[in-house]
Amino acid sequence: MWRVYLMVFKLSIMSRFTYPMSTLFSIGSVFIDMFIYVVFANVIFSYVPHVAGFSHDQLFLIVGTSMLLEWLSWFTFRSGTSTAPDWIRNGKIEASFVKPLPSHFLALFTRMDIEDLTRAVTALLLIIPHRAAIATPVLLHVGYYIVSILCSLIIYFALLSSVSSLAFFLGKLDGLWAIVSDLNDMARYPYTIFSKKIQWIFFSIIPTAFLGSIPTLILTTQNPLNWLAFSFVIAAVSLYLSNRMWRWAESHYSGASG
Amino acid sequence: MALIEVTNLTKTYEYYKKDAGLAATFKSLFHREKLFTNAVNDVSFSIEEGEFVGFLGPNGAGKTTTLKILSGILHPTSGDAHVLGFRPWERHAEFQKQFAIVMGQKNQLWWDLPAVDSFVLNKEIYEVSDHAYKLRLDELTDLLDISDIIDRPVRKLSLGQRMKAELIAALIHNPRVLFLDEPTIGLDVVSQQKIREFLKKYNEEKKTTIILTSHYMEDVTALTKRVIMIDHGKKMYDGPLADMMAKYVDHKILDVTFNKAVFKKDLRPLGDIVEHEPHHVLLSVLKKDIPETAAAILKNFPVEDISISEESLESVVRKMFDRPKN
Repeated sequence: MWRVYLMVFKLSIMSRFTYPMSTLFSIGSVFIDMFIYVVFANVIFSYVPHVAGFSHDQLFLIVGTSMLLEWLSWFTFRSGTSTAPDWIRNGKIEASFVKPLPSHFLALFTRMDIEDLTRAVTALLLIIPHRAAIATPVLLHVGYYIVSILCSLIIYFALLSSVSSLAFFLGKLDGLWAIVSDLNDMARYPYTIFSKKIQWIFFSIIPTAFLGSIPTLILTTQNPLNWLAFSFVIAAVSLYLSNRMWRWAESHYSGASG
Repeated sequence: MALIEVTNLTKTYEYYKKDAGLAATFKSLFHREKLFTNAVNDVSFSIEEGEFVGFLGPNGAGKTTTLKILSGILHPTSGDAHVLGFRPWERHAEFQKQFAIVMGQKNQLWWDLPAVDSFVLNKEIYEVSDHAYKLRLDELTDLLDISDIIDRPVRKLSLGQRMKAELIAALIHNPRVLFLDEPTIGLDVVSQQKIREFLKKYNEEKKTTIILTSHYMEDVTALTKRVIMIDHGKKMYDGPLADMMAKYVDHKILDVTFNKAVFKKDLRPLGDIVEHEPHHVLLSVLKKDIPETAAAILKNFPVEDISISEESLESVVRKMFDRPKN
């Protein structure tokens, strides 16, 4: 599976550079998007020393972490989860049902977007100085952080693939994607700003807390192992559930004309 | 045991009735009538290793649905099927490594990249060794005569070249079973002929079991000895192509060219007029009446040329499906 992912990754880059000017424009537009967001974050957070238990530097770490996850998602499954509903509707998804790899992987890891590397650069420009401002990071914490990012990526994949699998029943998901996008934006703020009930939702049904706040806590608190174990469990459970949901949904596939 | 075994296979689709117009659209938000249609209805057959079987039927007969069930894309509503000893819809990787499906109207190649890049992706998916891949690629490009175009972007290829590349992508892992759904659709006559020649040779050399659906009767007559015919999801005929022709072909075609214009009304008593122009006619005549009719035409009309040919398979199929159902 790893070799196939690398091959798709290579083909994606080659395919993108078939239209070099378009790719450059995409890189530019992602950069502008990131720049505007960072400028506004600076404006907002410069007026507040801390928000709901998160310090000024931690707030930027949440923003940086969510950008890092955005990049990783676009480098892996994000294009696939976005196009899957169309592929389900027009029958293109069928190619992933007949090949000797899990269709959950083949149908959703279809293209990697090179232009989103800009997100990674911006994210690191936020994460490195703001983490250093808190205290010199212990190498072990950086290791925990990387593991937590991988767990968060799995949780993100599980969330988006579950939404995509609804297309087997609903056909089109235009409205749902708008909500998913809003939730994604919420991941850039500390989960503690919400009421307890909403926090529960963000830790369970729609686990966006893991897309910014939790990895930040793992990187910056003295005792991150509880959070790390929690992330690991949620990642394993959500991946299992999303895989079951995908398989159940695809078993109801009735063909593009059915 | 047969390589493909299908027993009482049924696939029922659900759909909602909706009348035309905006008012009907709003009405359907509150009340929808659920309807059912049997795309495949209690179909059984078996296919031995190495057979090349034609799957025939009019549009919407259930051919593609059957192929999709046999390749594991769709789950049946009832009945059972085994391909290479596996239930296709259980999607065992071991089964998926041994078959391929090519759909004439769907493209699995990367559009902006040379076809060869898609072949390499399939090589990785099917875990084909570098050595085996090279041998297969050389063999297939040679057989299909496209070694010079596989490094061109797919979007720059003609429809015929693209279909050849699709076939290579599907065959790179050397499948034992191949499902072909309208592989020649939309191709020009020359490309159709090339694809047919390739498939015939490939089946003979590799003994690959092939099921072919096609709208072009030339595909079926050139490639298959056995045909399975379905209509409205039901199997109508399963047997040798020659037997089917013998059973349903009771007419022959008289193709006559005249020196002078001949009126349609004068020809009508001689047989069924298939096609008529002032100087040319195609007449469908009962086999037993051919000598008398030909003699009458030669005697009574200004004939320049006359020939006798078999009815096309297309008209035979049409005739079969037009018969009242028992």
